[in-house]
Amino acid sequence: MSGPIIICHKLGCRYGNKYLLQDINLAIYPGEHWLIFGLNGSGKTTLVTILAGYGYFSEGELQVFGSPYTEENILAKRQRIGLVSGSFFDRYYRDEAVQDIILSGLTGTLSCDMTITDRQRQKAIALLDALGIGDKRLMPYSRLSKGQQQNVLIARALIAKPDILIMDEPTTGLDVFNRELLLSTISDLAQNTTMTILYITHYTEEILPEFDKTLLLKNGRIYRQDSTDKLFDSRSFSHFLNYPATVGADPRKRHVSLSVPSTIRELLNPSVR
Amino acid sequence: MKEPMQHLHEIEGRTERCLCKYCGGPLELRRIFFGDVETARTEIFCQKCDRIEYGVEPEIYSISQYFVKGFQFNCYPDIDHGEQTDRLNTARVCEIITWYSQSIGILDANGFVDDIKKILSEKTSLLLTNEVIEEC
Repeated sequence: MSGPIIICHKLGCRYGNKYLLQDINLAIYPGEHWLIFGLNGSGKTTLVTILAGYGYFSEGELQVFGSPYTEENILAKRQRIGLVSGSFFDRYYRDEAVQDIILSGLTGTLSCDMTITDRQRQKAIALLDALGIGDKRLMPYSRLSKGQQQNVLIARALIAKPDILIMDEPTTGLDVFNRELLLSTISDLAQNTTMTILYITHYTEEILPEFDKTLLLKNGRIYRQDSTDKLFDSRSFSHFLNYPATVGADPRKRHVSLSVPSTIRELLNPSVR
Repeated sequence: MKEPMQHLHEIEGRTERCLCKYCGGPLELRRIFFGDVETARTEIFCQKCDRIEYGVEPEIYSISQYFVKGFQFNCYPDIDHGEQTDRLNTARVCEIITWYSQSIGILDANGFVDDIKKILSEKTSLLLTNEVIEEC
């Protein structure tokens, strides 16, 4: 495939009078590794769920794998996209068994079906073991900790060996070991496969060197898209946050310093100085 | 890989025919997502359990429930025993029997094959010999 693997033109998502996304123009080519960065409520989850074929958009055009989503192709395309998004899937998964949730990544729907083969079931078990939750295979999703749930969604995204991997704040809830395991896995996939990777995070420490392109979202619109190095220097980042920030010089660990004073304590005890 | 409209027809049929493998309750088609593409936004749902559910054949649910209660089958020793564990265990046995039936060719997404349906409708006993399986 020589053209973009994902292309949006004036993509927008409106509910009533409110725009969650507006005027999104984006072209992502096969094998690229993108960082999507934005503050809370900037539209990151809305954007990636639309790109993955699970969300609704009210304006503009979207083509994934060379054509728009249609009745005929949407399930097949979803199977080629691995989406990790607790914000999204936690609305739909409650007491479904962990194994069934993982196998649903092979069907393009939210449930598994009778097309699942024995080899695929064994692959699901192997993935769970590698992520340290093999003993949770038959457990209801709601019984797992947040970090364990996140690992289930990671396994669901990876089981079909997707062409596009979209990870929406995937380290949420993960302990230090599992977080580093995930970042190491993403780095390995980025370096050694042709997978196109989109990674959403709030935390600049998770910006791996492999993410050479960045999309900054603000209030549902694209603020800027450019190389990661250009966007994550102190001046550009301060401008984006509209707040003074200092970005560390090491591109392998982009540490950001902000000084944000709090008045919460005073609100709680107004009589105490 | 299934054809997309085949998927819709399949889940419509299963909604009418199958039961929830956890509670045995009826299923419904529900539009889970907001969007224009019908195939992509519709899932089978159990209202009683409040979960997405592919469903199980009623005959399989019936014998699974009998097996769990009759032989106190429990593959969730870490959970306190109660109604929820009965449901979880019934669902597990449903999956095993469904997997077995599919593996030997007497069951697919549209239900039991015609010969088996005929036998089940006549409410006679079913002895699965090699000859019966080969005929199916």
